[in-house]
Amino acid sequence: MAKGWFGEFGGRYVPETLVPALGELEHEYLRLRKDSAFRSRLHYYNTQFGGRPTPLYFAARLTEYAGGARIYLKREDLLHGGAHKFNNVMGQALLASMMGKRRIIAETGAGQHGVATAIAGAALGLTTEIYMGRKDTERQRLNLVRMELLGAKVHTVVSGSMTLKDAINEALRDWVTNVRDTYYLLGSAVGPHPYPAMVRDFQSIIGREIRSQILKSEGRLPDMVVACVGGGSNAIGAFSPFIRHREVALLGAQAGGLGLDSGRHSAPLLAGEPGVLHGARSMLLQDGDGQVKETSSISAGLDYPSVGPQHSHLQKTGRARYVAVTDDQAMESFRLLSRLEGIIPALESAHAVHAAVEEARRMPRESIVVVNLSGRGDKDVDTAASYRGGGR
Amino acid sequence: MVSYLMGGDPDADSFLEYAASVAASSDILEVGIPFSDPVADGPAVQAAGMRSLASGTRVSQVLEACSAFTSSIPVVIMCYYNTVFRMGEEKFAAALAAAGASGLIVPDLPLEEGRHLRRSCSRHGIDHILMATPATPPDRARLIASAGRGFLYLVSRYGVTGERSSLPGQAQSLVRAYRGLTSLPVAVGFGISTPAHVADLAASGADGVVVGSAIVTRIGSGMEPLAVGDFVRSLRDAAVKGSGE
Repeated sequence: MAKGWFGEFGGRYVPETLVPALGELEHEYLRLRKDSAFRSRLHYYNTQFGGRPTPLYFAARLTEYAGGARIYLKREDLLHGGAHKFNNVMGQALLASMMGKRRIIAETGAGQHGVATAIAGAALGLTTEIYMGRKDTERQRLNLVRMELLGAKVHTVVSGSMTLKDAINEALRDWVTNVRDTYYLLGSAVGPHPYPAMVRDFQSIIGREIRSQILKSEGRLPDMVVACVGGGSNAIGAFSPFIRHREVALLGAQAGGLGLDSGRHSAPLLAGEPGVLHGARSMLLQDGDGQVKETSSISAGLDYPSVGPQHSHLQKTGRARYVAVTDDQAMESFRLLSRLEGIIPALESAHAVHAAVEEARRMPRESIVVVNLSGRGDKDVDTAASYRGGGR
Repeated sequence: MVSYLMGGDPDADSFLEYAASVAASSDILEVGIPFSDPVADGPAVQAAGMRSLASGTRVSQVLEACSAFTSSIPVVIMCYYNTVFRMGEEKFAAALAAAGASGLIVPDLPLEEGRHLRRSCSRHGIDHILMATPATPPDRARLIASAGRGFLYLVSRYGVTGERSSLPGQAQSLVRAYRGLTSLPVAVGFGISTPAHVADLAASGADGVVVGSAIVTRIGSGMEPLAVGDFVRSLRDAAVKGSGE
C-alpha cells in the first residue's frame, strides 16, 4: 500500500506551507518510535503517570442482562484524564518535546483530548493552547474548567458549526501560521499523513493489552471487539492488533443522532460518500457540491462529519462493520451501565455499549465480546440530567 | 494585478457588478468558489464565503457567472480540493474550460496529490497554478516551479490569507529567489493590502500581486462596486510605478 494511504483513503491534502512540516514529523516519528530512550520514557509515563495497563473487566451483570455473549469492558475510563486520549497525547507530546517544539496546540470536541493535552503539556512543561467550539465549551463545561486549571489556554471557536470540525479548522490555521515553533497535537486518527497511522500506533496499546488480558482470562481471542467511532482513534487502537486475526469481528458504533433518516446524525460511514476534509480522503457527510454538512450528536466527541481514513478502508474491504446508535439508545445505555455495573461511561462510549449489548444478545453464551470503554462520564452528567429524549 | 473575489459574494447579482468593476482595473480575475471549511483562509475570506453560501451559491452558478467575463479578462478559479473531488477531476477541468476559465488554484492540494488533476487540466487547456511558500525547501521549490503552469503563486508568509499592516521581511528576497527558478511569471499573495506593499513587491521584481482580503473586506462592509474598482486601480497604479514602467 502506498505510503499514507489505506486503499483509496488517506493522503496529505494540506496547504503547501504544511507539507515540509508533515514530512519532518513523519521522519522524526519513524526515527523515534524505534529509539530506546523514547520508548522507555513513553513506557514510564504510560505506567507511572497514566496508570497503564488498564483492567479488562468482566461485566457480569451486563452479560446477564444481555443474555448472550460474555461481555468484557476495557477500562480506558480509568486512565489518567478519564479517557483513552492520554495514550496518543503522551506519545505525541514526548515526540514534540524531543523534536524541540516548545508550544503544542490541539483541537477538542468533548474536551477529553484537550484535557489530556493540557495534562501532558503541564507534565512536560510545554506551552499548551486548545481550540474548542463554542457549542462544546457550553455542553462540556467541566472539561473547559479542567483545561484551564491545568494551565492551558482555551480558544473558543465561533466559526462554522462551532464544534469539533471548526476547532480543527482553527488549529490548522494556527499551525500554518506558527509551524516553525509549534507542534500540532491532533487528537484522533484523522488528518493528513502521518497522523492517522501515528495516532493508531500510539492507541494500539489498547488492543495489545486486550489481547494479552483476554488470553490470560479466557485462553483465547474474543469473538468481537466493539468501540465507538467519531474520528475513530479509540476504535482503531482497539481493532488494530486484531485486524490480522480474521476470526475476531470488529464493530464500530457511529453516532446516529436523531436517526439516520432525520439527516441529523454524525455517521459518515453509514450515510456519507468519499470526500476530502482536514487533509485526508475518507467517508464524509457532504452535499452535492461537496459542502460539508452540519452534524448532530448528543456526544460532542462523536460530532464529526468525517472519520479516520483507515476506518473507511476497513469498512470498504469488509474487515470491520459499522452501525449507527441514536442519542436515545446511547442515553439508555449510559444509564444502564451506571446502574448495572457501577460505571458511568462517557456518552461516546455508551454508543459502543449499546451496540455491544445488541450483538451479545444474539450470540451464544460461550462467545466473548470486548467493549472498549473509551472514557468516563463525569463530563456528561449535566447532559444526562436534562435529557428529554430525541428521535428514535 | 490579480484581483480575488469570492464567487456569489454577497449574492449572485451584486457579484456580477463587483466583478465588472474590479475586472476593469485588473489583469487577471481570481474567483473563489465558497467552501464550508476553508482552512487556508483568514477571517475576511471566510466571511466572504459565508455570505456567498448564505445566499445559496452553487458551484455551477459561480462557473456560469465567470463565463460573463472570460472573453474580456483571464479568469482563474480558486477552490478547495473537495469541490474538485466531488465533481470529479476530469469533469471539473472540463467545466472550467466550458466556462472559459484560464486557470485553477487549489490551496489544499500539494504537488504530490495533484498529479491526476494536472493531467486533467492540461487536457482541457487549463493552467494548474501551484503555490510556493517561505516553508518550501529549495529542492521542492524547483519541482513546484517546473510542474506549475500559468504563473507561480508565491505565498508571502507563514499563515492564512488576510490583510496585514506590513510585508514580511523575506517577501522581496523570496521573489528574487523564485525569479531565478522559473520562467513563469511570479505573483505574490497573502497579506498584500496597500499600494505601498504593491510598489515594494513590484520593485523587487514580482510580475504580479494577488490581492484578496483587502477587496472582499470592502465588499463585506458594503462599499459600492465603483469604489472597490477605484481601490483596485490604486493598487495597479502602484504596481506600475513600483516596477518603473
